[in-house]
Amino acid sequence: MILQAIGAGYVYGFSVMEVTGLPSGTVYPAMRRLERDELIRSQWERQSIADAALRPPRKYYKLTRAGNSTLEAVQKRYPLLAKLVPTEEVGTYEE
Amino acid sequence: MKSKWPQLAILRAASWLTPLNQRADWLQEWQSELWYVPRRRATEFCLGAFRDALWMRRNSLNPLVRSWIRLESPLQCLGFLAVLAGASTLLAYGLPGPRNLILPSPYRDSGDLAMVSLTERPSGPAVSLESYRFLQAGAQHWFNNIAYYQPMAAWMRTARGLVSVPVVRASDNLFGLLSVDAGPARPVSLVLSQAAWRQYFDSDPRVVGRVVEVAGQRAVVAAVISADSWRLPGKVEAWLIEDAEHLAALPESSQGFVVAHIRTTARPRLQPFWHIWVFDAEGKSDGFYCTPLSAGPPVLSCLIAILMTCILIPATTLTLGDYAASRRPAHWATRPRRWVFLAAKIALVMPIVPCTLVLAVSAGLPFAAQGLVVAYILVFRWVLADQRKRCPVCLRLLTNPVRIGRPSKMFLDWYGTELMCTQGHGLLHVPEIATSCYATQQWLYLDRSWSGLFTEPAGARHG
Repeated sequence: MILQAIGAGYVYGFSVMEVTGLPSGTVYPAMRRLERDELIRSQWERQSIADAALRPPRKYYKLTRAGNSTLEAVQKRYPLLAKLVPTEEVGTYEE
Repeated sequence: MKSKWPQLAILRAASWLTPLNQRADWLQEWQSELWYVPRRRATEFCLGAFRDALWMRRNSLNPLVRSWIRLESPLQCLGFLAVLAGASTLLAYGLPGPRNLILPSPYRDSGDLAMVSLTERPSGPAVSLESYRFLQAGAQHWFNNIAYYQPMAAWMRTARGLVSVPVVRASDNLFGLLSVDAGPARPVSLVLSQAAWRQYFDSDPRVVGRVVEVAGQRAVVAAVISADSWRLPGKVEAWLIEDAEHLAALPESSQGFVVAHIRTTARPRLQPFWHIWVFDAEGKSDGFYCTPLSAGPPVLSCLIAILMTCILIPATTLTLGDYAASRRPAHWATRPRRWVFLAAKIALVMPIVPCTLVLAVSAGLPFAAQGLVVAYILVFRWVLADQRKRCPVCLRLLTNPVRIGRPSKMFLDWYGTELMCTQGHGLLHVPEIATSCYATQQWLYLDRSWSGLFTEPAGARHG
């Protein structure tokens, strides 16, 4: 579900929490496991962007190629998973 | 952010659990995320950081170190138990206090010897010379013989000059009551421990018969005895033995210990201590507590405790589970390995329990004989629980527990957990609710077709 949420454009920890309804003690360790297994990767937002938006910089997560194929396989196995997590309209991840 | 200082304090506290090299990045991420969290949910959000920090800590360890901490392989488990058994045995036999509790009593009639006191558990010398005389006069039907001794620090003139030595001033029947040979009786004599003889008299073989000044008196050295001959309360290096006439010169209020030889018919059996009333010729009465010096041979106590544990363990419903026969023919040597491993673990924990308890008792912790049985039950339960969590083929700890089933299907709970052997030997199904199909845990052997999934070395990865 967390992989699906990140794939759907919820790219930082609190937004994943909000969309999945899972507590912080579940979401963050799960994201670390996914990163350890190279299904997602993380990157800090540039300070200038955060300063312009008057907020602290975010740590963004993005699916890797392996993460994308795993998510596709999971969606085939559990088609209802995609309906559980709505797609985020505006992606905020910047390389 | 300023108004969220309690939450920031929680995050900072949690950050101490993370590895040092990842702490700054971890804390920055959580502080950044906290900015978006509504204030009413901020504390709950931050408490989740502890779980994340613990995950970071666990997964930052070297796989080999983690494997050792979890005692993953059978050799690591046996090695750990062997070190624990060796260390506890060495400590118990090496330290004088615990050693006295383990080794059999040096006194011939130790079963009939008791300390007599005015309270149940005296913390030091608490019987006055007056009470000792009262016991002598009125307790003949309880005791064959009663001796008095008083620990003190006394000046002793030695080959090295005047030294302060821990000495016991004792009635002249003390060593006779203990059946320890302490030389011929004299009005005032001195018995030296081997340590004092070596330290203060340079192991002089002609010390016996020499007159030494101790506590302001001239005493003849009557004997040198081994340190192991003294198991009564009080640290002593020399014993100043005085006859009744010299002892009478002491003040009536002098506090000391009383040790007595109990008449065989007078001792109630199977009691840690008992109370007696003593009457003198004038009809005065006083109450005393008797505590036997020896509660029985320690080996016998251990055997009884182990026997009781063997009876009680099946009542705790901890079984080893069902292990169906493998379709793969196993090598003949691997079949009994599981049972040899179990027997080795039991053999290694056997000495750990009594030695650890003896160390605890000598450190002053209160302990009843039933504690030995409870300790054995807990340890044997750990042995069985550890055995249940191991692969029956390679004996490594099973990993990656996964809860299975749908919560709504069975009383709103998951109905089982599955663990796997990282070497690919099989899966262990542990039912969370006993059902007609799964009453106890069951092992499922995996055939060679599954081997492709288990290519990574054991212990390399744990969730």
